[in-house]
Amino acid sequence: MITQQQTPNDRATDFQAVQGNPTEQYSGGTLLVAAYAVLWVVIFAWIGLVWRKQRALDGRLTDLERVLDKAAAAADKGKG
Amino acid sequence: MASARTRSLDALFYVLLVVTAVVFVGEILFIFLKAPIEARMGIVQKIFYFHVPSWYGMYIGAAACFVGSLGYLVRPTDLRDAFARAGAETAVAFGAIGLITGPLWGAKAWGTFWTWDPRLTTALLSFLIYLAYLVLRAFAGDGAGERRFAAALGVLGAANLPIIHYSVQKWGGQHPMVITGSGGGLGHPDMKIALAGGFICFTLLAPLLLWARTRLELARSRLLRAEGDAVDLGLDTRTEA
Repeated sequence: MITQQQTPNDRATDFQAVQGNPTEQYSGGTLLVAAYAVLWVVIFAWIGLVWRKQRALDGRLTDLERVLDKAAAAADKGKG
Repeated sequence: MASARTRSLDALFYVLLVVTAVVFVGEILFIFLKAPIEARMGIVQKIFYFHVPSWYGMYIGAAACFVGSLGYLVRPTDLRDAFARAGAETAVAFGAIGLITGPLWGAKAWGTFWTWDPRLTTALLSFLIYLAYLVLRAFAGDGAGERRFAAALGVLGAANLPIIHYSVQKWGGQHPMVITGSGGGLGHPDMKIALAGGFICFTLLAPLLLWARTRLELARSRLLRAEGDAVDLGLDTRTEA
């Protein structure tokens, strides 16, 4: 592993006066709201995805039931 | 008809759901109304109370995927496979929350949304591993071979988890250490309560989602088996147009 030893000179910097009206690059409040919105969007999107999968299963189950009913009806007819 | 065990499990699920919802609302109110604003970063620091627990949720999902996958490799069952798949999905969902909320915080704290910092890079790598797992499950079919291959990925994918955790200590970078290693900690008692609340929320939410997804996946496996049996009996299960 390479470790870098920093000397005080490495941290040398200069300060410049801002030109024009100083404004924040990113608003903390907007970023916070965006972050919490993401949290809820991901959770609700997942719930939506689970709901869709559940609906697909329902559809397949209905198909299976229909086929079994048909087979049972055919078997009854064969007996009768 | 549902058995007594199924009914009691259902009751437990609904109780857990209600408790999770109440704790979530309480946590959000606490974060916004009680937890103090951080002196240097301002209000954006409040992302921390969900950002860190979301990674914890991702670890829970990844651990579930690892346990389910390892179990499946030892003795293949539908339940183990379903648990592994649900774990990978949980890991991706919480990883996505962490990967999006982190850069939003970083934009304010660092002045940039993304940097190839060791912690960020290894976290992204883990997210991509679990995303690859889900893509594999979605498009590679559901045969025994595909399930075994996915289980191997689920086991190997967990190898990166400790690397994420220790990357910030071993390789430095910009990512702060607040509550682990030599981190400075949280300066106000309400900040500690807010973070603890976040962890409690995700400790409840992650197993809840895991449980719901495992159950759904298990139902899908049973249906697939029943469809197979129907086809073996000469019945056509395809939908009539």
